[in-house]
Amino acid sequence: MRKELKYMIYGNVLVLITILYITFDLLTLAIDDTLKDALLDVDLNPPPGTPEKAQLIPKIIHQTYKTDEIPGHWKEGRQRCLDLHPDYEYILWTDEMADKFIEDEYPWFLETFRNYRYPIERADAIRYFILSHFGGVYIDLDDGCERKLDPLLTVPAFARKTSPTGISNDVMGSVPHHPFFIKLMHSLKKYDRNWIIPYVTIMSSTGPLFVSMVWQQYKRWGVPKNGDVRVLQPADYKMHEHSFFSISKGSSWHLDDAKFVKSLLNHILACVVVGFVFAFFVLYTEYCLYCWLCSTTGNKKAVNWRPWSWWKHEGVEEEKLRQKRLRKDSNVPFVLPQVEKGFDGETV
Amino acid sequence: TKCLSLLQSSARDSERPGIDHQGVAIFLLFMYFVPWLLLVPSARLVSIASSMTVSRPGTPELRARGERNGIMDGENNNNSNNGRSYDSYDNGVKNNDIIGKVSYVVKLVILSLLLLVPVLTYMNALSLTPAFDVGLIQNTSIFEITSLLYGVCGLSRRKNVFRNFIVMMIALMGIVLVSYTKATCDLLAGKFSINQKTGELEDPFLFDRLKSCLLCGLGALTLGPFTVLWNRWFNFSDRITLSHQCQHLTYIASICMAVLLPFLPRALSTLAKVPTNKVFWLEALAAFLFGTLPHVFSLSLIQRQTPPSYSTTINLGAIIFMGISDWICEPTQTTIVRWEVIGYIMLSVACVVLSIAYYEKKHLSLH
Repeated sequence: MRKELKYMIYGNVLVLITILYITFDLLTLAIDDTLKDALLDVDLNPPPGTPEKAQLIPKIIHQTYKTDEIPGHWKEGRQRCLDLHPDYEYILWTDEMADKFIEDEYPWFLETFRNYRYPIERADAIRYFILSHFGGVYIDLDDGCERKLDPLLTVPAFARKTSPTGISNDVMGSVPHHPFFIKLMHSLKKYDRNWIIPYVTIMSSTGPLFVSMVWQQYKRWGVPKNGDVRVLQPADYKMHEHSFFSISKGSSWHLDDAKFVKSLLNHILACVVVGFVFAFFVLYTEYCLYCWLCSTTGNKKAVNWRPWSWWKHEGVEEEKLRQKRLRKDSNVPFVLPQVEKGFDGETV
Repeated sequence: TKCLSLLQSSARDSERPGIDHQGVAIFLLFMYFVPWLLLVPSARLVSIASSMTVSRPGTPELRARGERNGIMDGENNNNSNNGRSYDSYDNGVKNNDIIGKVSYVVKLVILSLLLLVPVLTYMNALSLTPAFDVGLIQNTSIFEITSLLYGVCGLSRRKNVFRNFIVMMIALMGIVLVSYTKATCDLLAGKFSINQKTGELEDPFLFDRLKSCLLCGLGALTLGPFTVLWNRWFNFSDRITLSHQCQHLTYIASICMAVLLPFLPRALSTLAKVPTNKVFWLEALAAFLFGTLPHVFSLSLIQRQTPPSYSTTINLGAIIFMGISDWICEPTQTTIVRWEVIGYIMLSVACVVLSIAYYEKKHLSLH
């Protein structure tokens, strides 16, 4: 095997392993079955006469906004939550309160917290710290309450299923110091990367994609005792008879890139094809480079490369070299190569 | 592909309880290999037909020479006359060579496993995804992997590599355009849209389709090593006859069927629940006898008679014809937009250019 080919194979294997390592959690998400951890109807709507389960999650509702001034279209949903849960403690976390809380309780995270590129990343991150520290239920301001949350408090932790796969972070609940939320807290620094596209950066550094990937890791190595995370199914989340929440206009941080990413869902086949074409483009470009390096004049060209020389036919260059050699050795008669004739008179 | 998709759709749409779609897919997968058993008789038929139509050499001397060389091609005459008779070989392995026979079996098993993966993912994908989507992603994947591996493994000529690469990319751009503008499919809308009343996806199978498309494309990649190894092991010399190649393919199909045997009872019990009428079996017969058999047979003929790289253009042609068949079978559901036509034109032109660039007939006999 040629040296160049060996290096190319090693390089590609290395790149492939790196990509697999980076995207492993994403790939496992694709085959994840959330039904195993689903909150069942019997858990959420127990038949009459069933003995009441102990409530594990403390009765606290957490919400976040940059200031105390909540926009009008979210006030109604928030008020419904307050009206339905008079026995619950309610905390609205403003940016100032969040910063103070991190500074006092988790100073090791303060630098990362303050250096986030987008404010929504801070809003995402703070909810994991709050739930891990105090326990309770976190609800996004665009989620209004439709019924009492008491049945959800009977499990150590819960989150809601999102589409197409994984869990979201807009509605979550947990007991204080739940191992999953501790893991989330400690993973934030590692996942704080800039993926250039704001939507991708937010989703994968602090958003639902981040939560889903950490959740995969959490499940992979065995869930500790009383460390379950139960999953609220879409029908129990919103727009059904027994749903816990209703949704109003949200996703205030979505920019044009988010709309573009969402529009890709209309062209799923094209996305898969583009992935395959891109991989082929990269690999075949490498192959072309390999052919060029291995060609008779490739090494010379590598030294004296001119941008316009790539289009020239390989044979032309070879013919030029042959002609040069012939002129130099012009005293030696040029002999045509032997042409053998087949028995049917065809040239072989 | 269209017929197999229709078969799976009819099983799915029957709405009988307890129908396992995997079971139907496994049954069709098993049936897919049955026509491969007819490859040897087909090869014999073709060789008889060709010997009847091809005129014999004029002089007795030439006739004797031709008969002596038999199946051999002119190019290899010098190499093949080393005192060895082809009759002392069984499928290219000496009759008394045990190691050779073991290695032959190992080769067949490897090829069978490499073939089983893409056919399995293809059948599974057909149970969840429209036929066109499956045809497109599978053929694209095979085209890419074979083009690449033939180059890397030295099975294609390293001439005008960059020019061919540009043409290939034009074809692939055409495929991307077609897949992007493809607005219809044979089950549901196939678009990401939310039902405003329930907040759920209009098409509950949307992400299953994504998954099956991905699996089908990735599964088809094993056909790359399959074709490379096939050319290395069973298509390396012109001394190997078409009949022998068909025999190898029959063995490969038999091994695949043997692997699937443990799953067959489950598949048959599923099939018993599916309402099968005459149309169902007629479609199945048409798919396997007029689809699979000619496809595999013509592929082996082309692999034999032309350089390996030429066969890659078949995948591009398959995508074009898949689009045409979709348009013919479902004229009411097909919406053609301008960019889709441009995509098909790009694909067709690139396919023709590549066919001309790769074409080089080997002038082999069909015996």
